[in-house]
Amino acid sequence: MSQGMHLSNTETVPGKLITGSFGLVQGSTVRAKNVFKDIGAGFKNMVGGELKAYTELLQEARNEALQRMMMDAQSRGANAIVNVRFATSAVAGGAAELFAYGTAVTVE
Amino acid sequence: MAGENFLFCQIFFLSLPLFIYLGSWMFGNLHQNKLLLKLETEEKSLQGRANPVTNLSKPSQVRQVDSSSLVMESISVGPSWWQMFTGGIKNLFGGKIHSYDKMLTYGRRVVIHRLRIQAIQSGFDEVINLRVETSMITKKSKGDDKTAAYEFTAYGTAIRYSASQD
Repeated sequence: MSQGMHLSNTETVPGKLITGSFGLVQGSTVRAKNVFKDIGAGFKNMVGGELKAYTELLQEARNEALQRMMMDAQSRGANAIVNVRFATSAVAGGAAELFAYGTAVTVE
Repeated sequence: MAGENFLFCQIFFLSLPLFIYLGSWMFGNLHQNKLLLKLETEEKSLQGRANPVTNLSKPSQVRQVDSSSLVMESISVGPSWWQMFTGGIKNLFGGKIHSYDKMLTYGRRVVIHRLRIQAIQSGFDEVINLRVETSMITKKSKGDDKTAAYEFTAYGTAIRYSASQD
């Protein structure tokens, strides 16, 4: 995670006092699945269960969305983001958009 | 002789999809039962230890909080072809669709279990404000793409209480 940035999905950072608010920050990324991984996942789908290729892909994408959100917050001079939420949506065939948003604040 | 061969070939190719679905049913069941069993033993091995994961919005103890951070886990699971097939048939008549249940409940359980393990291993005392989100990630709008996967993400705020008892 980013250096010195406090993230939390509660309304406050536990144990810290919020001193200033900078409004909504967000980060998003669109990822398409890899053709080769797709074939592997397709075969895996025959028996069901975990599709590791997709799990990894989405974790990577979610981390990138988080990073972008944190960069947004940093550029505003905040040092924490509270009430972080994630959203995923399928934008086109085989592509997913990952979206992270929260409120940038400063804590003491 | 040639006629017999031809007939055999015809039967073989016509029944190929049947074999695929039969295989999907058999190996799918085996594989999924194995996964469930593994999860069950893992959950049992944690029995008696603290279960720190809650969806309360505030820390449950009135102690000084030392540090906190966002933790998350995700998994994508898919039903087997056979389950999709039977689910599709069931869909015509409506009612309960049991075939999807198995993998969906598995996905949710495993993701919360992993979050718990992650919190314990990185030394956090509690995870609060747990959220579990479900999304369907793959289904091409056209074309016969058989892949279907559901993604579960669990995230929450992990907190560590300060050591001093006051």
